[in-house]
Amino acid sequence: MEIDPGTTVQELLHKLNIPPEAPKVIFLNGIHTRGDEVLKEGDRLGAFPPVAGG
Amino acid sequence: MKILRINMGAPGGPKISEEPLGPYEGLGGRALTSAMVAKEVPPLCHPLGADNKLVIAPGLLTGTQAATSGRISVGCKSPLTGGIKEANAGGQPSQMLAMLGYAAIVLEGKPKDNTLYKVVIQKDGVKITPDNSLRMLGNYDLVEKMKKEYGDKIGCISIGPAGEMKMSAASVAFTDMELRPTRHAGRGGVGAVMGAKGVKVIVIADPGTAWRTPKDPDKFRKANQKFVEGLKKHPVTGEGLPAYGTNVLTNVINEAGAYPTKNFMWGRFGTCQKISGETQAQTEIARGGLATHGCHRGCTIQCSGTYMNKDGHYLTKQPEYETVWALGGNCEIDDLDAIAMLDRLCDDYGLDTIEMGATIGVAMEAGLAKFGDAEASINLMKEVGKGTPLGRILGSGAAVTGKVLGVERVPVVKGQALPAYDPRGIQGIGVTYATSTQGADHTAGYAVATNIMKVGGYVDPLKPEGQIELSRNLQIATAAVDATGMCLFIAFAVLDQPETFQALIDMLNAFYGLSLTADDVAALGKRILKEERDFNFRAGFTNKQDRLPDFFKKEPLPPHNLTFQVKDEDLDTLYNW
Repeated sequence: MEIDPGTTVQELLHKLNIPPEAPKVIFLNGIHTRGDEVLKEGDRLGAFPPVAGG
Repeated sequence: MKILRINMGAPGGPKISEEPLGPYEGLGGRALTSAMVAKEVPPLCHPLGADNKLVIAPGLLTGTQAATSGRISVGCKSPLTGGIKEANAGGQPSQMLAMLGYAAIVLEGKPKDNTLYKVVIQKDGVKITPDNSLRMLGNYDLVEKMKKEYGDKIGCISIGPAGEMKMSAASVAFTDMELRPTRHAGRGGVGAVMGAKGVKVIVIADPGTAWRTPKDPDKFRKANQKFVEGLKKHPVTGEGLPAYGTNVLTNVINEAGAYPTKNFMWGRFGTCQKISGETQAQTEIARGGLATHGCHRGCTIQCSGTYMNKDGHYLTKQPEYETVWALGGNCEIDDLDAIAMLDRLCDDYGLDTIEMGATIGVAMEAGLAKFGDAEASINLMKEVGKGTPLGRILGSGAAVTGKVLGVERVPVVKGQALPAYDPRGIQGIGVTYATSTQGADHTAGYAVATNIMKVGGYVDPLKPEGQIELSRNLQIATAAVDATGMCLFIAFAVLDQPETFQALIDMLNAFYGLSLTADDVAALGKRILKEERDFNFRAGFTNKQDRLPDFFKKEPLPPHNLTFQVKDEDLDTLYNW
């Protein structure tokens, strides 16, 4: 998707109407993020509610 | 509580005896199976021989009104690993046995010939009779037959053809609430040991109806209430697991880059959305199945479901995450219907889905079938059910199959296949795979919770730091939980909510009139692990078996391009507490 340059992970989630407390784990390129990273071309973002299994 | 022993090798035919718990008083579940195996089974015996014993034990709280307490432990010396084994299952028989006052059923000795036996537990006693008409029946047909003979208020513990053929991947099946053989003590070939004892099925024909009574009923009821509140409140046990089941993990583990794909070559599977828990739940609901369902009465988590075929007819229970991965992503198969069929075949033949998926992955790497070929995979599984020479090789598990077919990348520890998390992407679970007394087993110390889901704190999955301590603490806690008969999934709530952990301890105390503390529970876990590890050492294991296969140290796993980073000398410190 297209985003404005300088958009952070948190800002994008906000834009997508995902409440800040909803995702328990957020991966940026497969690595847990803090949320303040600035997104760049080709990044891959995954946000998940509290789930587990096994 | 009492122990039911059946000596299959007694002169004149199988002999039944009952005895009090005696030296095993105060033990249940894994604590009981491992204590009995450690004390009574010579560690150097052949797993299929007269000296091995199959111990089937409900947990300390099973048969009580404690929520989610209907798990059962099956212990023996494992034909797959050569070490001690505790395989754990859900289903109805655990509660039924505990209500009837059985702390354990022990099958021992070796029958004189290959007669197949049926054990029937009724109010007026236990009977064992030869019944060769059951030979090579699948678990589904077998249970139907038992239903005709004993009615539909029964519970069955059984083996399929794989157990009869004494395959190392054979499971022991337990019937669920709908009297289907869908709950399996899967790992380590426990079904082969039951087969070696010549017992096809144990029918609980007159299940108990009265709950076991606590010493302090009022305190027990209150603690249970608090415990249930805790399970409902925690988002994992209260929301995620009920809605999507264990397969909710497919997308998460894939995103984390730790989803073993194509026999552990890659950490992501491009089309995993097609087999995710979300897609699975949608499919189930659209076809008139259930996406929320328990494996036994009294479960408040309800992580299971029922999977219908395209025509809306029952095919199998909701395949678990591990199954969907093993028979799906690991083989590059992204067809849920094919995976559900493979799950059904495993339940019917009585096979461990994790071991079989890993085995087929190895066979695909050897060129026996193409990765992604679901039809070929189903045909290979049918070979196992038929017991053709190829089927017998595959039914012996990934290690044997890899050796026969000349494959280097064989994902096993102590001969047992790795489950659905690559240790290069989730380093903590690698420590558990390497050091567990059970061989590679995610349930033995589920570091994935803390590494990935941030349950019970957070330890970075891609670094070696902190993983030994994490795995150690989880292995200790898990061994204790496995003694209670509680489903391991309670751990998500217990790890995050101290009051839920306390409620569990309060239940044990109120039931038995004890005054255990959290330290006592940890001490029980440590005792179980030490006993199991001691058995393994006496069986010939050393710390050199506490290692992952070499390729995990040499081949970096995309997308993170990491190898397994935890050092051997650190793995050797796991049991130093």
